[in-house]
Amino acid sequence: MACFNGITASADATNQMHSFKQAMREVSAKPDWLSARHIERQRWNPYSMEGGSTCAISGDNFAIVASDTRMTANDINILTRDAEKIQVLNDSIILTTSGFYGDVLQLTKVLQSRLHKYRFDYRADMSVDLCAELLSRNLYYRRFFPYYTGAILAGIDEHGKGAVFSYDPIGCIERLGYSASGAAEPMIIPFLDCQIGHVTLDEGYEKPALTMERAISLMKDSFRGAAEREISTGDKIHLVIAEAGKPIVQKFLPLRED
Amino acid sequence: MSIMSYTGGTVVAMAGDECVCIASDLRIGEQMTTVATDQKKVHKVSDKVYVGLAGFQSDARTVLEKIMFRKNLYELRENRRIKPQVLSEMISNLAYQHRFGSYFTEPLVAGLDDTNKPYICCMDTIGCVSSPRDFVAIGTGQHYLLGVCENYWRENMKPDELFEATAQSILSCLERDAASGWGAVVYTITKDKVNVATIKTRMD
Amino acid sequence: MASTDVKNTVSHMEMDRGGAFDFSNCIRNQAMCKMGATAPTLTSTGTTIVAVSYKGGLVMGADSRATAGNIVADKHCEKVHKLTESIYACGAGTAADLDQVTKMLSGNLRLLELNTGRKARVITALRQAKQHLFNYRGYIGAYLLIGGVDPTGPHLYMCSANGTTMAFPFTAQGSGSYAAITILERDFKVDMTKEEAESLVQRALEAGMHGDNASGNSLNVVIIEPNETVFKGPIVPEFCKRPEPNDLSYKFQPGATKVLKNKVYKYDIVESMDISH
Repeated sequence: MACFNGITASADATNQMHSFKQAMREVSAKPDWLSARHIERQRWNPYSMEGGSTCAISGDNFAIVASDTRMTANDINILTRDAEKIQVLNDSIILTTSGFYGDVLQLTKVLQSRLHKYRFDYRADMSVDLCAELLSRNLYYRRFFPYYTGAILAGIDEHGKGAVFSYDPIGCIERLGYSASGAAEPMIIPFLDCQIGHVTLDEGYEKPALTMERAISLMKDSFRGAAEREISTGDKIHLVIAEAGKPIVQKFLPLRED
Repeated sequence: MSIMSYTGGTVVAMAGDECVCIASDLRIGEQMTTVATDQKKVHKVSDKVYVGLAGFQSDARTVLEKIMFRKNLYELRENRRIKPQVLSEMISNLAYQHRFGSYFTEPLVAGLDDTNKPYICCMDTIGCVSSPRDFVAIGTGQHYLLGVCENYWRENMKPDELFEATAQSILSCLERDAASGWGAVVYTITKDKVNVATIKTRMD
Repeated sequence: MASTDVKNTVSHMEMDRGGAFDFSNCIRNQAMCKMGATAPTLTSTGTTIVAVSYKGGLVMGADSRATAGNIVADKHCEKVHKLTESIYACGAGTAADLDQVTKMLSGNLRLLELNTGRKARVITALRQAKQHLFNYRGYIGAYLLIGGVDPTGPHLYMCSANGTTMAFPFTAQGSGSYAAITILERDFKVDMTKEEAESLVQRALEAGMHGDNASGNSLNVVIIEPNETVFKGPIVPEFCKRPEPNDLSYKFQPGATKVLKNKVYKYDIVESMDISH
């Protein structure tokens, strides 16, 4: 809780102490283990999480998107080892999503049909900037029953530069140099901060430029590291490379399967 | 909100060739409010044995006192320096004694034993010891650290290299962990000395 | 008199509690939960453990992954615990509980062996485990497979956290048990040879490690026979190895980190004090 001056803070602390003492009295009078253990009723949950992680890096004239291909139920059981979490929407737009797989599919379908309609109306492919805005609105449209997904949209923009747009489930949009989402996001992002953002290195220290080869290697290594430590990430890396003026390349690389 | 992230704080340790590194941030907070910026979570137990305590810092203090009490008693009774392996077993038993109603702190032990072999281990709040040969991390930045360390750790690092790897790992973690930060200290423990470095971090 | 007082206080404070639990924080922790704090995640051995009996012996095995939430807390955790020379226990559940329960069991059984002058029986280990666990009404989260060979032959028991026990010719436990049990059900035969049993356990474990997120990394197997016990491990199955090494090496040269302040503490090395061995 934010406090703006000392008085509020101390009054708040007193209140907290007071309610803590109250809680202590209540619990001492009737500890959990004396009452019959309460039954936790499982309420129906419209969402589930299928695990896995995705990541995108943009550079001067390229954008690289990767995800693992594992799909998990309840964090434990593996449903499939080759789930598609990356969708190539057109020659310059790649969508990658993690989270609730039902919403992932639905969101993809919505975007695909909107892109199709755009092509029909304007006789041209949509640009990634436009699609980014479209996706944001589609997500915010469901403000109170959101698509439970962490989406990342990547591609080559109108100026031939790599673009990565990162979203929260309700459509907060941000254009970044690199982004990750999903279960292993906390493991991948600081690594990229260090290796691409160079935010942790001293001023005088040599900082290698982000070439496409380096970006691909970093992408692979970050997934290899994440697969070691995160249980719902593994099986395969699905790597999609978009370079300005070239067709999109897709690759699959092995990851550990346990 | 988990009680483990109430005050924030992160500790990481890495093992090298006859050396270990242990690092912590300096922030202590009350949820989102930063209260102090000079709280080390790494404590010296003996010359070559250090213990890190992340989690709820009020409990960490109590536990540290209990650890020091037991360690002093051990050294008086046995008339020898405590080894990191022994210390971790001691802390594990202490933590497990409070199996029901635990202290909300995760201990980490890093040090060199008397043959200068590195030893690192971390525990959960009830004393489940895990002592890998590479690195351990505890606290609010654990997830961030494990991902980074996985790529930065390598076999048989010398003290210089180990320091850089540990420092860069904790710096990367502080970049993203809101509950830790405000500076960091890195202890490099080698067979003849301990080097305590305060490193430059983002201050937020 | 003062000094005895101090001594008494001290021993009362800390040491004489011995192995007993200390409940002094319970009320405080419950009050904190009532205030809205959530309890920390504990390390659990999201596990595959498998045991199979064969003609004249028993094979037990476990994977080596310990998880805390969705991260791997320990890649090489030891889940095959030695109780006596010929009795072993594999554990699933809360990792700290398993360590401590098996430590207690092995201590008690050793004492029993020394007192009686003969080898402990598997049923003794089981009875001790179940009485301890039943005392705590399932709050000690240890799910054990206890097995071994004693003068009455090979035995395999399962002991759940609330004290329920069962005897099996073969069984699997833990989060990977569903995958493992399929292999066991398909391939188990009565009176197998040692090699068959060992390979069956290994295949069942691999199935568990493969199909279950919370199991993996490596496996340990113990083969118990009347005259000898063989421990094998850690065995790393092919799918648990990194398929490709890292592309880049992340070696930092000195100077990568900006050091603001450096302090060096040299130890006072006193050679003659070295009485540590």
